[in-house]
Amino acid sequence: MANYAPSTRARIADLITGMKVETGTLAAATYLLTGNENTQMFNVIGRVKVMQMYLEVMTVLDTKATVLFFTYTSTTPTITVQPINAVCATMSGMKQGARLTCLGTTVATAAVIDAQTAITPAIMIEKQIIGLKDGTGTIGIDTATASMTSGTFKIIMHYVPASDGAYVTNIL
Amino acid sequence: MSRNYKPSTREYVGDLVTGMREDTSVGNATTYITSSQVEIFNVYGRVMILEMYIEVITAISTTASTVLFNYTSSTPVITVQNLSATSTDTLSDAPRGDRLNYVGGSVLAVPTLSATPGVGDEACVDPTIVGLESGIGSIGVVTAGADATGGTVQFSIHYIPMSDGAYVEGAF
Repeated sequence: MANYAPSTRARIADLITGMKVETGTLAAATYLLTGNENTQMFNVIGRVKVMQMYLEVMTVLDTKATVLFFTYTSTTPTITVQPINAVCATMSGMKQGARLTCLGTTVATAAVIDAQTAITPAIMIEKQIIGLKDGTGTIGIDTATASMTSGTFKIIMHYVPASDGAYVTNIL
Repeated sequence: MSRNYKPSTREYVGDLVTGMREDTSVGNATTYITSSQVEIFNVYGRVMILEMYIEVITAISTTASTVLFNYTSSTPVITVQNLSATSTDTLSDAPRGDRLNYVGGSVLAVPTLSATPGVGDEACVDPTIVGLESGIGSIGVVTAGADATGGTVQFSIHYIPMSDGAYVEGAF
């Protein structure tokens, strides 16, 4: 059993499941809104392979029936907003540590909310390639049905480049 | 061409392919294969379980012990949550080298005993994300059926960090 420094552990994780990029801690009252609000979370430069992507609750969400799906929008070239997955079940009352996970596979596959807090047995097994060679775009969330009034969350993505010079940065 | 790697390099290659391995000490089955909840790994932050299993070190008694894996968080407080269902395979008379494997994919998935000692024909096909950012928790086991009255076991986990500074350590 190796006794690695934290930086080595992080490097091993990057090599196995991709590099992590995450948003700051975001207020649900600002970003989890009704009306199909589309908010951009990550810049995608070039083509990347999404290895894992999920929302993790930092402080408990209130009991509003907000739903969301992840989207991709390209500015260069122009590609209008495209769903990455299907809309999830209600996020009402998700507790600290609960995750909403993008499963990959097809854009018709719904993101899944953990049945048990802080345990995510359903992860992205079939990865998705997002973006395009020399393109510039964003990954966002589209929210609907109800507006949250309390709680905070982060969105975390693990990725690897799939075209020369490709990378992801957080917007928020 | 075969490589003449140093043991530390072989270990590093293993860590890069299947995650970092953490073992517990060898424990008495009378302590760790019982109906009393016991913690086997401390989990700091959010990690992905790539493999997890119990290996029999010395043969288990003739007792129909079945095992369930679970997770408990102390910071924040999240009461015990099942990581798996209870195994239907029992550890009765399990010889040295038998492994009971956490298989992932669902918290209802049943841990499975390898068919032959030393041959791992069961594995964690769908990795699980467990824990949460900046959280402190533990993975534990609880036994049903019958408490073991003899034998020894060792628990192993192969994991990667999923949040900054995350890691796992043996609880004993």
